[in-house]
Amino acid sequence: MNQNNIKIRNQALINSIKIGAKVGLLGPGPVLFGGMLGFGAMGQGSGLSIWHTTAISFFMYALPGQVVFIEMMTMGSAASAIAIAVALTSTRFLTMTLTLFPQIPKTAHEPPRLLMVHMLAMSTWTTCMRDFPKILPEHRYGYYIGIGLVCWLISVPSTFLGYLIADAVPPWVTYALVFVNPLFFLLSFTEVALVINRISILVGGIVGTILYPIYPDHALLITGIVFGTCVYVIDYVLRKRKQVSQ
Amino acid sequence: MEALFESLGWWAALGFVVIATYFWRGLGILLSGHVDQNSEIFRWLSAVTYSLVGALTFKLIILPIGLLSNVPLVYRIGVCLICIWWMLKKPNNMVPCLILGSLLMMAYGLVELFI
Repeated sequence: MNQNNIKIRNQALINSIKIGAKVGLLGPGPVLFGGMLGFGAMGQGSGLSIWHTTAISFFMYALPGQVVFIEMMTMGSAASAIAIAVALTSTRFLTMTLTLFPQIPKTAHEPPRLLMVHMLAMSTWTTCMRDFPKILPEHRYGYYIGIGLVCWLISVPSTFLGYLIADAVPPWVTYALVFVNPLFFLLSFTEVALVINRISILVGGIVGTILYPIYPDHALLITGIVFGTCVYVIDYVLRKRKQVSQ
Repeated sequence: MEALFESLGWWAALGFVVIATYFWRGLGILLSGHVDQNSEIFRWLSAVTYSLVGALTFKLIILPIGLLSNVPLVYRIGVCLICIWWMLKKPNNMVPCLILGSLLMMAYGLVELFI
């Protein structure tokens, strides 16, 4: 590949990163800002230092796992129990990565995926899954990096700020901060295109809520694997029947 | 692991959970090269993932821990339904819907404060 082609490709990557960053700043960014403010306040309330709390957002960057970590640390749980619980809440990243990255074509000299995957979170994933079908494959990686980078970079100062203002923010404002993240995920689901995926969300949501009080440690995993598979199998059988009848 | 926690303290704990979180992300990248987005396995993985994130989202709303658990379940579900209804009525309306949801939650907090 000659120098000119490399230059054009790099410029295209930068342009798609800029577009992704813009989308990140307008959509998931402010939502994450609210969510991480709430997490910062939680860290302060749990008695952690401001640096510990901020480091969790920087290095983990997975809000549900972060909450589990702080709660279990505060309760004095065993180290192995904390590591297992966090690993279980993070299992979603495996399938999230496996559904997002195959949609991005590999190119030579692209930013390393093993590094960029750290910026994958639910906010970035839901936005990319929604927008990728409308974006040319060669622009998807830059778009993902743009959104992911903005969201990750927002999460760190907002955790810091949340910690600092924890005592100053009245509880009625904190209600909105802790609610905005799940509401964002929920509203993102209304934009999911495929019917099978919509049904999976609904089935997962209902079954997960029933199973959680019974198996608090494994409910999410059981729901995802067992009931997600059930929805897939039903969809598969219906598609095959349709093919035969045609 | 417990001994390492004892001796190194909090930063060791963070190190373990960071590895536990990154493990799945990294494994996903290593395996993603073998998954075709038009294959049946991709369709199955999508169903599993959406089911899992659906369960997580519903759990955060219906069975929350911390401050949100003070808000009555009916109110939380009511706010969600209003926002979903508005979102379905007017697509690409995410930010106004989120603002509405946040305002409704703040309204509950204010009412609770004064009653």
